[in-house]
Amino acid sequence: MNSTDNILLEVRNLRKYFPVTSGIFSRVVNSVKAVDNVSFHIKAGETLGLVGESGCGKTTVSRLILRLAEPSGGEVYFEGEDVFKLRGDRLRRFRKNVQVVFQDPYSSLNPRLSIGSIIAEGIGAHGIARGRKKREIVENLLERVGLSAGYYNRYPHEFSGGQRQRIAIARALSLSPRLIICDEPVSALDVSIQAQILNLLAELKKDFNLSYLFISHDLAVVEHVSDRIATMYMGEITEIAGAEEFYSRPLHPYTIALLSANLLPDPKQKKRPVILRGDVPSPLAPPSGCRFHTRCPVAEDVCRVKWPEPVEVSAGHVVRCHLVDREAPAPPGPLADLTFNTA
Amino acid sequence: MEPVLKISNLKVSFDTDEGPARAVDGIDLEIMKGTTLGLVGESGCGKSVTCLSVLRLIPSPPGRITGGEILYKGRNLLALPEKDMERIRGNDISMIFQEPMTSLNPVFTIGEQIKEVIMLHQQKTSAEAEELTVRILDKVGIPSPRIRMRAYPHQMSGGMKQRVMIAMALSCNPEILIADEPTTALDVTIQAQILELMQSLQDESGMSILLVTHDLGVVASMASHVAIMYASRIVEYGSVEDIFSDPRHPYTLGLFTSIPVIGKRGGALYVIPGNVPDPLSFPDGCKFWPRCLFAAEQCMTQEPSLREIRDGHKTACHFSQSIDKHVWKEKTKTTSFLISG
Repeated sequence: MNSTDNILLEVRNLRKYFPVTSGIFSRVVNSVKAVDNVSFHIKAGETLGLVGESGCGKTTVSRLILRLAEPSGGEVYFEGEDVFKLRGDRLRRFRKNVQVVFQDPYSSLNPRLSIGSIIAEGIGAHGIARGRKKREIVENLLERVGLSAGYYNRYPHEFSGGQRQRIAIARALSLSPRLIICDEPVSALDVSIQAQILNLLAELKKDFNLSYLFISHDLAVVEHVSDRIATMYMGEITEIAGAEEFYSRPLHPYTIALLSANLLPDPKQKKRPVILRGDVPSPLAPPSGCRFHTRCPVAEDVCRVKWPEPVEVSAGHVVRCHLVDREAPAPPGPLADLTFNTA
Repeated sequence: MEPVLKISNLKVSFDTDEGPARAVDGIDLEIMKGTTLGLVGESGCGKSVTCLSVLRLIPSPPGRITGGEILYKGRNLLALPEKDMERIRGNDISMIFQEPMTSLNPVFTIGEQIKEVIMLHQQKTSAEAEELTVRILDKVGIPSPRIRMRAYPHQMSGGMKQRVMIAMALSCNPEILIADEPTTALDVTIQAQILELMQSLQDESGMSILLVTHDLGVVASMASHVAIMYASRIVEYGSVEDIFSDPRHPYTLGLFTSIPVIGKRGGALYVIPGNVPDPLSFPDGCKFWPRCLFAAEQCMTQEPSLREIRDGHKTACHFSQSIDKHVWKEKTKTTSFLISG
């Protein structure tokens, strides 16, 4: 198979600037670059993990892909079609093919609808089935996500957080999508429930040949589910790599800082020094040059003035950093001895 | 070593329309001077109620402390008159909460809020209290404290607000700091900063910390001892090394093998079957038996007490002597960082 053939979703130079207005005439005085020149792709059957701290633009990327927000620029291609130009039937088909599971299962389910009608809504709206047949599909979905078909007439408040997330997953599956965007799907759940949902997502991926865009701030969870991982900082992708390479050979200082701040559940692990000082700068006044330079422990003069272009250091491993040395050797051993791999 | 706080057989229940809910059901805990005890468990297991009981902040009604004692410097906090308890809070035992966003008053500057605490607990003039506020803010790593103390909470980031909370809690040099999920709402890089701050303040002042969390990574890096809580009881207790290298309670083993760990990709995570029991109708016997892979007849009738299996390592399980990570691995076929060792 040609490698370009099975690209399901391609995001090119995606931008979203939110205007900041002032005064009674709402004059635009500034803008927040929530998403700035983001590019990545997801292949069929693949999970791309998107990691970053709060406010980095992860969720805005997902809203743009879903066409829940209008972009300021850039393109998104799904199965080769320009998503932002879709209208009518083709837009409906796109919406059927790309579904979403949100973080908070308490606010993402309508409390006034029974869970049967929540899951059935899309099936009806897209004219896939009606009446008895529709109910049958919903009951099968309920059982597929580990709930009982008898729950059809119950309401969201009767369910726990983990069960609600299963309902949200059943709703996403109801239209047989090709891509599911999971926006922090396990962040609101306890660890033992988190394991149930992660296992369920992995099973469904295999059974239905799904692709996921998996957004999370939890590096361990992302690493567990993803084939490839991208990090985002202040609206930009800073590094993309295969999951193995991501932790065995992280190159961007931000990735290294994130990995080192992630505490391993092992008391014997030697304590790693805190790498990142300070907070993320205000998006209203982003730093000049590389946006990370104000917190970067290895920043040099060039970082303060020049914006780094993404560099492909090896096949599929893209880093946006001036200091990346293409010839640099991988650090010995994963994680324990993270070093700044800069020349 | 001398325990600075000793909780014995603490019982707390909340009255509900359907009867009393046993939120804490007979727990024993000790915190040694200058050390950190990690209290680990899932939501609803009774962690926060335990913390609030120590400060006697259980809302009553509907809550009631129905039994046990909490000894601090030889005095039972549960028997103290409210007036004495007011002096203990803040001066001797202080607390920081999970949500720095909601625990600060939005209409006062952070300086005013810290000053209020100092003046309430110590004989200080307004000017002295202000000086102290500046010093404390500086100590918790807030840049230009003289200016920042005039800021309102909404003008600060989450990490900065948590620093303010810590400053407030430490303003009267407490012996014990109770930290209830202090970093759960923060990003990982900010979490690392806050944990480092707590560690250095502890090294400096020798205070003891009761650290409540559900994050095993945080516990492993901060605590010297760990208590695992499940359904209102402590099910396992020991040094952090013992708990992580040789867990003996099936719940602990289940918890440890259900989390993804960096560097151990792929494979299914262990899933503890079933759900946490409802505190209104706990099962008879061991509260974990309906979800336990090793449950036997005895477990369904007889609730195990927390017993020492060897030097300071305690479990509440009838079969801890015969259950360990090797048996677990054999039985569940799961692998994890713990089990591979």
